[in-house]
Amino acid sequence: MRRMGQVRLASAARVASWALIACASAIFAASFGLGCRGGKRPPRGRVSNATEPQRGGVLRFSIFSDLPTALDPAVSFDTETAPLLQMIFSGLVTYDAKGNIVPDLAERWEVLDGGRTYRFHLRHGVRMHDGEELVADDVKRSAERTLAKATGCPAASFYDHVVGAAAYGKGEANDIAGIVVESSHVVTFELDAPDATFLALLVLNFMHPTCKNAGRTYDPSYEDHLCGAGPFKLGTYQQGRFLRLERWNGYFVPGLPYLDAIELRMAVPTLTQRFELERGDVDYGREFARPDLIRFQSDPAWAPFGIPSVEKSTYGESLNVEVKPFDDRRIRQAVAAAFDRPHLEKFFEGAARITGRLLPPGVPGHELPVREQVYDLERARRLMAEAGYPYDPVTGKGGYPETITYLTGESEGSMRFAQLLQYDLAQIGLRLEIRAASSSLYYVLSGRRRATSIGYTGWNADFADPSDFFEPIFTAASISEEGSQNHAFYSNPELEKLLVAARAELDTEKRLAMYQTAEQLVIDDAPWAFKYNLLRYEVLQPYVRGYTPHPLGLGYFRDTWIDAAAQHAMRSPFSPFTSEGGGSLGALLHVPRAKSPRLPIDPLETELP
Amino acid sequence: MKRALDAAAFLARRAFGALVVVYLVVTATFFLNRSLPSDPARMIAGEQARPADVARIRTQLGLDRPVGVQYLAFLGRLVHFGPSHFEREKTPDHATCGHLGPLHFDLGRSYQQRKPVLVILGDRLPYTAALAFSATALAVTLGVVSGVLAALRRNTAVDATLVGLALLGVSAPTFLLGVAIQYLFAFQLELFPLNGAGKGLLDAARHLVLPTLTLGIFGAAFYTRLVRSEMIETLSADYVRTARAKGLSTLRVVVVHALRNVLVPLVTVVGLDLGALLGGAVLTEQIFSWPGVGALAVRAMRDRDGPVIMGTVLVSAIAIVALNLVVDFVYTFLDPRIRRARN
Repeated sequence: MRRMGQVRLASAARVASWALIACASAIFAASFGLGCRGGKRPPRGRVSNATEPQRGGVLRFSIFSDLPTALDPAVSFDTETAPLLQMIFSGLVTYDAKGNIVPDLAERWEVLDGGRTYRFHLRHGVRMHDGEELVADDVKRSAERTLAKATGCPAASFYDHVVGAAAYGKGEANDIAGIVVESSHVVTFELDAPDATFLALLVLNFMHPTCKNAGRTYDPSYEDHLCGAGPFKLGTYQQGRFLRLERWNGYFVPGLPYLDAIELRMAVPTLTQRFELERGDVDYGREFARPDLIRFQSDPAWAPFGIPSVEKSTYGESLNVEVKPFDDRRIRQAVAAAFDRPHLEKFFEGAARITGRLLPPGVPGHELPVREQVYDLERARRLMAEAGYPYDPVTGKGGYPETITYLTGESEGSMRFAQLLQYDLAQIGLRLEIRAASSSLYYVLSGRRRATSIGYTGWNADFADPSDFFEPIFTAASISEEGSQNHAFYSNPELEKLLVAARAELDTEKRLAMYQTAEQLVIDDAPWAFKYNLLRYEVLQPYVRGYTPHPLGLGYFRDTWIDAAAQHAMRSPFSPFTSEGGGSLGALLHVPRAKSPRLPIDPLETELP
Repeated sequence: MKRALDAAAFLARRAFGALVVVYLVVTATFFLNRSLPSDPARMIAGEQARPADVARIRTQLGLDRPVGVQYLAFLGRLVHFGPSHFEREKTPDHATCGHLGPLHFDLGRSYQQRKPVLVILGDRLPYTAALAFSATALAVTLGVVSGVLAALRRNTAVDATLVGLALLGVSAPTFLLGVAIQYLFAFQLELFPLNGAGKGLLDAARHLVLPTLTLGIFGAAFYTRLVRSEMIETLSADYVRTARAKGLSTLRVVVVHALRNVLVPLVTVVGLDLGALLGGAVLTEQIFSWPGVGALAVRAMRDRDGPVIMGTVLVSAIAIVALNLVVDFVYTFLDPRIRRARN
């Protein structure tokens, strides 16, 4: 009996051992075999040529960020949350697809007192997500909520020139005297000084009307009950994980939006996003690792569904005008001329647009010509010689005698840029030592006076107006001992005078001409060596229509719709429109993925609940 | 009675020691975090916020006060007494507190999310615990079975294969193993979701499989090697030979006599591993977007979100210290010699 037990145990052990080994081998073999197939199911082109927008469908996408900041129009100030909030909260004015400021909740406005007073006439019958009609009181209440001391709005200073706003922000007044409710549908903003940028400031989420449940100041619990007058209302929000927006049937633009809902999953690594897009788990993607980006751009199956766009940002090197040797204009100009931009263009492989100027495409004023910084090694060496540091490239002798510390981020990309710069500047006798810092340390060092002589820098438009590319980064007011946004610590009285005049100028043509002159001043003074504007690349599934990169930010889906027939064909496991002509093991074992029924636009659905 | 008193005294000594360790860890973390050259106010306001707005936020959060004052304020709030019943909305002083009767715990409010840290941790901890326990269960089960099999079939092809696989498992970094598992089972075979945590218990369980597998395989590989070597040593011990000589079945010899001795070192390692996992499995959580404490900790460190950093460190320290305490007690059940020595 005991022997039998021993035999049984021995055979069981043998069988279990081999079963374990067989399982492991199968997994490895399967992994290797399947891995050789490369990507799966690339789209094979549009299977439906529907051109009329259809109502219905859920658009799903993922992002790497977990939206760490609060989701609230009063305190959110980052590029990820901005377009999401724009879909929940509409403003008095907005941008059209071309970047022009157009009416939104306000049907019209008047600019009075030479730009000191802005009067808005609200549309009648606009319903907020709680069913209440939008009135002028809501505009004033929401602005006061944002600018209240207890709220801690990170952009409160944008609105300091509204009469009484600064005092209200310090808790010294009970309301903002300069926001005047003239009637139920007329509200006026009075400013301390004329401001041609004020409409652009109102496009930002901070001033967008909220429902009464938002309270008088910021409250963290509000993000579970976000309520505005935008095209979508909040469905579900799980911080850091999932957000679902649902169509607001009471939206004031008839027929819009088309989508039933938008679902966003957060904290998804870029590689997983690629898997999701290829597997059809998401309908839109925009965050790709370099190899995946190249694949989506070059694969003939995916390329037709990619949308490149230029981000409203400019990157370069800041040259601290208060620190040697960059206190000498000629050396700054030499750096700007020594940077090998054509080489950088090859390095980027289509991920950036090389530039030698400040204003990026999409910002008014970019269309006006300026003399850009260009790569000219001979000129750079001549300027170095004029500054007293001649350099002989043959012997390597001469140049600036000390090693200069260059501050950059710690990512691999930043380090590679730094090495390119190090090589280029060595050609004119400037020897760099690279210091890579974490993002938090980078902000401290680059914003501390006289702490950094040269460093990587950039600016992303807060709002699409040229003033935003000058005032926060190239004026005396933007210089501080700590936390300076003016990383070059540059100021120029002539420039300041121009910027003050331009801010007050209401004639767009004259105003842009002033910024053209201002930009030329900055280019010639070279507090920055301008390098590139970042390019974005978004990929849509073939059945997603009506989407274009919007001035409000990437992922603004008000006008997007889903072609139901095309989506149905794409999702079928045996669809001829998938490259492998069949589904996966999962698709065979399980039912195919759920298909949302598509309905034509029902006029009843546009009525108020 | 005396044994119970001895056990209670032992427990009290160890619990006090554990509290001291947790206090030291928390204090060290607080000062380390404050000494880093960074500006939390800038991180909160955003990289492009104007200096005036950054300064206002700095003042609002009390970040312009001396570090010592900030530390005392933190410590004073961490554990304090307050009302046993209160409504958060109506008592701003206790809006961020958790409480056990009148004993309140407060880690403050996240700079970034602006929510009470205890609420954030409360959301995340169940996910971390689920992943840690399931991965440990898988690792221990696989590790013990393969370790025992390898020891029983020592110097055979089975042994070599299992040891080889274990070596492969131990050597494969989690980020590679995780991505490979995700690619194979979710992307290619579509048997499981790519990532996320799902909705409802069943769906969450499906989402848990791949992260569990990633951590479990790594742990199993390590435990296989440990169990195999301990088992080989134990099987050659005199008492095992005696048990065999008495005519006991191999099953009984292995399970009742040998395995029990192997469990002592295994429990030590498993306890430490589980404690570390409860502090968050950073890479695995990130690969599979599993909303646990690990990903939260990384994010908080990057954003210099002081209150969340303190919260995650506290969770991690408590988990490790508590598991050590548990392991100490488990020893006494597994090995009577330890119990006798302590008594």
